[in-house]
Amino acid sequence: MIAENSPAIERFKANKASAISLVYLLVLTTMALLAPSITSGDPNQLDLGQVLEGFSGEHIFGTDHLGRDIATRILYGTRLSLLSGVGAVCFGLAIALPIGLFSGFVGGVTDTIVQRFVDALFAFPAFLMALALVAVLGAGLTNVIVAVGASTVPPMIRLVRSGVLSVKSEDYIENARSVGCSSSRIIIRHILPNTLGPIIVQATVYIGATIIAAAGLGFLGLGVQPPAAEWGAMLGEGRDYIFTAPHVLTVPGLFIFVTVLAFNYVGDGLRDALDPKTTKQ
Amino acid sequence: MSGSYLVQRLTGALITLLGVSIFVFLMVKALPGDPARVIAGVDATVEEVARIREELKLDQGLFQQFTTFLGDALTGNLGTSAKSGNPVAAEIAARLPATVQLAVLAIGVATFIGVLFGLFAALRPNSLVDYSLSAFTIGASSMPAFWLGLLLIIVFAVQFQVLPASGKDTWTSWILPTATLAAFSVALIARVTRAAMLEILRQDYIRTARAKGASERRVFIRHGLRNALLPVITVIGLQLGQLIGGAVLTEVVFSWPGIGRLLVEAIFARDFPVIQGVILVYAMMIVLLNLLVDLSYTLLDPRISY
Repeated sequence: MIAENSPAIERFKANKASAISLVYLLVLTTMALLAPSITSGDPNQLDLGQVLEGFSGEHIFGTDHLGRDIATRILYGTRLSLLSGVGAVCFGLAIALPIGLFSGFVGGVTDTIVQRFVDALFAFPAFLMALALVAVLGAGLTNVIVAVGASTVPPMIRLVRSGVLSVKSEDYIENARSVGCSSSRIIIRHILPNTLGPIIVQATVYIGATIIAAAGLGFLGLGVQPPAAEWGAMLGEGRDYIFTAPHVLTVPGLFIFVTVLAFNYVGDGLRDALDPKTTKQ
Repeated sequence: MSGSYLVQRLTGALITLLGVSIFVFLMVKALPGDPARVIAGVDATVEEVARIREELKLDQGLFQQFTTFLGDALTGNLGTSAKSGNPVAAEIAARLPATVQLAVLAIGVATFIGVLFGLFAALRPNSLVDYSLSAFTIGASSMPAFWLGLLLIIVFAVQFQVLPASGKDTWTSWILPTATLAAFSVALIARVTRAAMLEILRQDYIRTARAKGASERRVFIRHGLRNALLPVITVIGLQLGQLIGGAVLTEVVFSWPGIGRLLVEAIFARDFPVIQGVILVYAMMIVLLNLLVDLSYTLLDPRISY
């Protein structure tokens, strides 16, 4: 989509925070994928002789209340947290994309009705919506992805639709229509590729938000179930030890914070790179 | 304000409420098993289940059941808690003030700090204040509320032992939850204030005011701030709704006796009448707030009429 060394890539590289964030995310993802090769440790290996220990050479981030190595749990937790964040955004997009494309393209009464529903859902705080869905679906990784993903649908429909509206009246759409393209071909071949830029940017920013939401459910004990090492669940389990061993809370939280920060910076960088007009003065 | 706009807004609000009611009603139907048993709770006796089946008109059609449910809800009957046996409306009424008080306090603090922060950033674009605002904004949107709360407890309750970690007993126990809840709104309010101010300061009438010799201070406050307030007030109103609904995690972290924690407790106890009731009450408050924000436009800016 973007040519090598295009101005967009140059602009992205020039944004130091975004570039560093992208490198961090790539390293984090690689480490998560290669977790078993990086450490021989088992994230669920109990060691009741060494509970709540501080940072040391043997346990760089210390151990939790069951003597499990926090660093190993963080590493394996990366998989679950990234998976739930990215999964939720993909799920949300899979629902929002067809609805937004269709609603924006056909316009008229259909569009008005869809938008009324989106407005209605929009008013409801996303985390509350995810919580309500989890109350019905139950806990677990898949349900977290579905619940958090569904809560991103209203804003994403709005985003896709506004993209469609901005290109719908362009000349090339009119041209495609005049040479006899069907509506579905116009949507897929002409409208979709031209609206994808802002959608990708927003999706990146949403990954940050969905990681936070999934971690929030994990923290409450309604997310990925123990003993699975998920960042939010690690915070929830460690809560009782806040007075005796705060490191069981600071370390997983720091990883959530830095990772979400990185997604936000990458999203910012992408936006500025793809659309120089919106660059801050 | 023309009547048609009012009607349109009210219709929108009603659709939202109807949508939430349908969701909340179907929620129990979507669960596996007998809805009467689900609502009665795990420990219910056969008689209790039978009574609930009768109450909910489960032997009748789905639409009839829904109208019964809606009619009950509208008259303030949200059912009986499966866990405590008390009326759900009473349980919510007991916990609602704590949630609303915290949200209102947080939005007040956030408005004060946010508007000041935004004004200073707009006054000196690209200054240290301006840059720290951008850093603060992106930092706040990346910070999970529950982790911020836990960090504040670690610093102020564990390390320095100056503030309580939980509860709602003394005025000091309000500080940490308020700070946690306000942090995110501060960033948003400051950013909107800054953007609105910069936009206004580019207007012709600001140049006119300067040209006719008004002092910078007068230009800034009298001509700038007054006009920049509209988008700021919109954001504050919408944020209050988000704060009330978004406080669930903050309430859990600080053991705050609000409806957010009630909701989480109910989810764990699978106490569906309470879950349904709390979600309905949240929706009602948020819809009402959004409606007020919309309608306040016309009062605040006479140029806008619908």
